[in-house]
Amino acid sequence: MSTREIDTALAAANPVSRATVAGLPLDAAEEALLQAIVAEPRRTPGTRQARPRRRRQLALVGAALAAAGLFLAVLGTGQRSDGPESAFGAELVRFAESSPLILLDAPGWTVDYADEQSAREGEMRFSNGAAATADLHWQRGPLASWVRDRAASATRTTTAPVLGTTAKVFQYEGGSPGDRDVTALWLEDGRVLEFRSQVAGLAAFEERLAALRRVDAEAWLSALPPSVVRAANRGAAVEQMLRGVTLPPGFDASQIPAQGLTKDRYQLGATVTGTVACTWFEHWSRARSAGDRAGVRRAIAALATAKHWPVMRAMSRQGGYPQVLEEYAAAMPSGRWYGRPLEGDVNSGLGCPSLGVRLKAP
Amino acid sequence: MAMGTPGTEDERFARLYGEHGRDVLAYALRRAAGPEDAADVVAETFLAAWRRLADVPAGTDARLWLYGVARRVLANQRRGERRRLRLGERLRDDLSALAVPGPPASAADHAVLVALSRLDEGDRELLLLVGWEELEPAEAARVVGASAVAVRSRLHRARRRLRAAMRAAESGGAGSAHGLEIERAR
Repeated sequence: MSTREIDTALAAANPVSRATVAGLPLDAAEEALLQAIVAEPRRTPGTRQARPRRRRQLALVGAALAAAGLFLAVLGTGQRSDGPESAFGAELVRFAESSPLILLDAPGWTVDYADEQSAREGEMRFSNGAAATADLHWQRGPLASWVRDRAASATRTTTAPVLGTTAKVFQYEGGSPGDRDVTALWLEDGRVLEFRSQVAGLAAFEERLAALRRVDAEAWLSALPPSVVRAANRGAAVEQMLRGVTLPPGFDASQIPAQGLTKDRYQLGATVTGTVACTWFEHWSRARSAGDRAGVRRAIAALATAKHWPVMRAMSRQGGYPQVLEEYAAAMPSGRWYGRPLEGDVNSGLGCPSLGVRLKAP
Repeated sequence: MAMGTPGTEDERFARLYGEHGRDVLAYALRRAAGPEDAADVVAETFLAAWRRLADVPAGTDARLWLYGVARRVLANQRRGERRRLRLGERLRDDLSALAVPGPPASAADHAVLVALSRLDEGDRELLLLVGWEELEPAEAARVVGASAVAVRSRLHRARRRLRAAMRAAESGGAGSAHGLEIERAR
């Protein structure tokens, strides 16, 4: 999927068009708001009130987007390991084995993010605690096409030494003095590495590039931030999240898929509760098709408790995923979601196929 | 540059709302948990604008300033710090009573929204500012208080992550091998 296709899909998914908002008959309400505001004295504003529990038509859209706000909020919830090798679980060791073991060795710089999109591709972000950041991205493949792409939009191209080889360096246009966007590309072990940072100029970038060091897996894993949940703890975390959750008959925690590196507890919670919920939806859908009324009732009753699951309560303080799930659960009695069979939207909304469950439309 | 247009403060404020009120409402509706919260975002954003009218930039930059305020109000809402301003009551009621659009019509659009929900707030906001508010990267940079160069770089990353999230949903597995694709940096 190209950048243009992503932008097109993103624009198409805009749930509230400018024309829709322009056409809303809110003139009287807006006039009342305007008059109320200009009558306001310049003092500390209003009072808090309890949020009314009313169903909102926009809830799902807002909730799905609100969920995005929590990734940063949960940073720091993981536990940094104190000990050496035994502290790193198999998943983290695998992550290290599939990643370039490189750190930015300069005063004040730490890793504040690390992730992998797949076994072939990943990235990490370094930060010096102030505004400065630097990114290292890696991906399998040939270097030439990357060089062509970067060169096409660079205003200046040069080379610089990095880790015993020579990188192609590209400076982009724009920015202010002290804030130039510069990126470097080189090949290492069949992987394209790209290091990008905002710097005062090429000299500063070369200095930053020269601060990159190869380290062993132990040092690299030790430098990962607490937000990278230790894989050794995943089983315990899943077990803890399943407490108080109404499980489908025969459900086994081993069917919860391990989706790459587990970055934070909210994402893990979405995987855990999503797998449970998708399984319940599958039971419900099958029971409906088979005319099994008791089975239908059992599934509806089970997912009606979702809002009380401890893991869901914890997640709802951080984002909108629980609200999405609750909206779907509330639609089970009718089996319809805005006029459509519920199954299709549950599949795409909760990502059931990626959790090993695919609901069939009736 | 602050608002230097002649006229009373009331008139300048009314003009500000007239030019940008629906843009802020659209911004809020696209992000808030529901129409009531969106109405609160509008009310609180423009209350801030009224109180700091001298700080509001002139012309189209005012919209970026307002988005920046609305963004902070939304962040407070997500932390549970909701306000129910009395002065937003009518807008809240009217907006809640309207048939504002529900979930997107197509599963593809829905999948994009869910993929967005998996991104961190910084990535998501930049993508939405450019994709939904139709801002240039330099304008989005003013909303989030970053340099234009940094925002271009972050947008590049954010598109990559969105693509990965969309692919994971499409392929039915987050760990599938991805072919090498080039994404333009700018």
